[in-house]
Amino acid sequence: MKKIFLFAAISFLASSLTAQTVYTMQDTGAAINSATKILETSNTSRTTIGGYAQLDYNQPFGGAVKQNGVMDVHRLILLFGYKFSEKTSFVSEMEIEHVNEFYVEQAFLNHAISSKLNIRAGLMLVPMGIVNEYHEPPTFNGVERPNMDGFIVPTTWREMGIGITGKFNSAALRYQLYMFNGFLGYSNDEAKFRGVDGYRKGRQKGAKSVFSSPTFSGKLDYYGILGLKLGLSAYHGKSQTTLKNGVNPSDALAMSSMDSSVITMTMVGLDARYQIKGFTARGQFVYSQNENTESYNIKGNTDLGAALMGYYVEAGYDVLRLLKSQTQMKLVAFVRYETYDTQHKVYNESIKNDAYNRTDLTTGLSFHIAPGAVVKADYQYLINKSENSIGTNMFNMGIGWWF
Amino acid sequence: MVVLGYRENMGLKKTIQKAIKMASINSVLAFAIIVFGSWLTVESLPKSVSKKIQSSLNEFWGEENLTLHNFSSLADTTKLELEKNGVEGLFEIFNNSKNMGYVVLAKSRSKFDYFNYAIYYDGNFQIKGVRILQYREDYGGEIANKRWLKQFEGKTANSPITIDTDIQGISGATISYRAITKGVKDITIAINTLKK
Repeated sequence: MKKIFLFAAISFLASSLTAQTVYTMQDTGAAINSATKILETSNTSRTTIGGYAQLDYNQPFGGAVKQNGVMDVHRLILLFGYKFSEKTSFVSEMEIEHVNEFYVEQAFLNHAISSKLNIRAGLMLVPMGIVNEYHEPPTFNGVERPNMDGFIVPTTWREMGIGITGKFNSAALRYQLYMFNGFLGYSNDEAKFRGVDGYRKGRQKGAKSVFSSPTFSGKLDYYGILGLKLGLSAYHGKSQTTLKNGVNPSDALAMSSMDSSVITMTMVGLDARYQIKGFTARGQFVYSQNENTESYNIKGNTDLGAALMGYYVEAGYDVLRLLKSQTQMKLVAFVRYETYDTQHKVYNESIKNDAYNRTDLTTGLSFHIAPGAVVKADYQYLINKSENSIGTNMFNMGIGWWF
Repeated sequence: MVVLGYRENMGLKKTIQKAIKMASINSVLAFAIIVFGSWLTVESLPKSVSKKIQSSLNEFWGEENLTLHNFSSLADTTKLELEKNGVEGLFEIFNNSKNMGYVVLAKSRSKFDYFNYAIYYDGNFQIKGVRILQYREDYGGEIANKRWLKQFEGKTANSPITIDTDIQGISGATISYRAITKGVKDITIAINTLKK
């Protein structure tokens, strides 16, 4: 009975976290310790500190001429999270790229109404494919992210916005729906989208982002089959333009100039991840269609494709399984085939560049020394469809961690 | 704000009942207690949790008239060992006066937050099932999927319960599935010492 009484007392004291209650608590004597502990632990466990990093060595070889390699502290990320209450929290990731470039990768406030409905706003990741959301080095094979997650999906793709997310465990579905600020397609008399890397230069990353019209993004993940995760993502909207600023709607010329500086894009992605015992496999397909590329390319003197397309398939096996020893270590041997074309379709064949139609073969090892710490090495053969492409050989080594 | 002041016309029992009721009304705060470490009793369980447990009992045992009772004779060493593994409550399941098994309530950490889960054991401490009671973070919540949790059924202290070998992982929920797998394994070993 006494126990119940103490619990009730603690419940009350905790439920009104005021200085006054703390004193009341002290008056009751025995409750002090556990209740004080409640207050203390609640403070320490409210803050989350974490981070991840990717350090690379990339060495091209085998060409007609000698080439230098590059050693790079590619990404170093510090993660801070704070829980204001049981339902309201804040997540941020601060990123240093190549040692001297500072970015904010995520910064949003999340309010969980229930597990089925969270509302969040701020700088958030656009859910498209696998790697944009799950980009911590121990979660993917290969020193570098798959190349299509750079050329087609411009990872790490994040924009300012607002959205809802949630899970329906009985149906094994997770959903995400967002309204984002879009890519900046045109600014300072310059078109940002290009044939060579699609939307990559248009990412605003939340830095004084220009906003001219909202874009919409969503993802549905299904996890109802053991070991399998399936994803369907979609993104739709207009690119942003600085030419909107100061335009008088009755000025037809300025209006048409503004219209030419904007494309409407629709991107759809499918992804799958499977794991059973030591075997892992994943694949991803992304197709993105752009409207108004003719006017856009002429206005901006650029060569953006009317459609971008790419896919990859990858399989890996943890060879330490064969030793049958009880270890947390993993040595994953993997192979990945990917093909992607940033000019899958063009409005006019004259701008088509076959060098943008690329195929990569990557094979290597990921050595997980402990959960969260990985050393990687791989070999890549990169070739494209242009007539004089002889293919590039790359050797990559890297270390990564995540905690 | 001396809410708990003893009032003659109310009586201690009533005061406590009211206190418990108010505590369970605000399940958010009641859950804060679960998160921040007090050994739970049947009486102190938030209503939402009791309900979930009751429905799991029906599901795993297929019997309607099972009741929960506080586990009274727990040695301090066992209790400590269980607490170390995130356990916050241990209950016996009875059908009238017959012991049918045990329920352990425990917590563990996902990336940013704690989650609470329940392990259901039969009378021989073999796992009947595992259920997530509350998962707070957006990422990693896939572990609440029943098909995934089914992997723990039938495990005992002698089962390996190793990550990625007999417990299949979930992509995108790495931290959470590792945490719960480790939790279930360690708790199952610790609780096996209660075997008569």
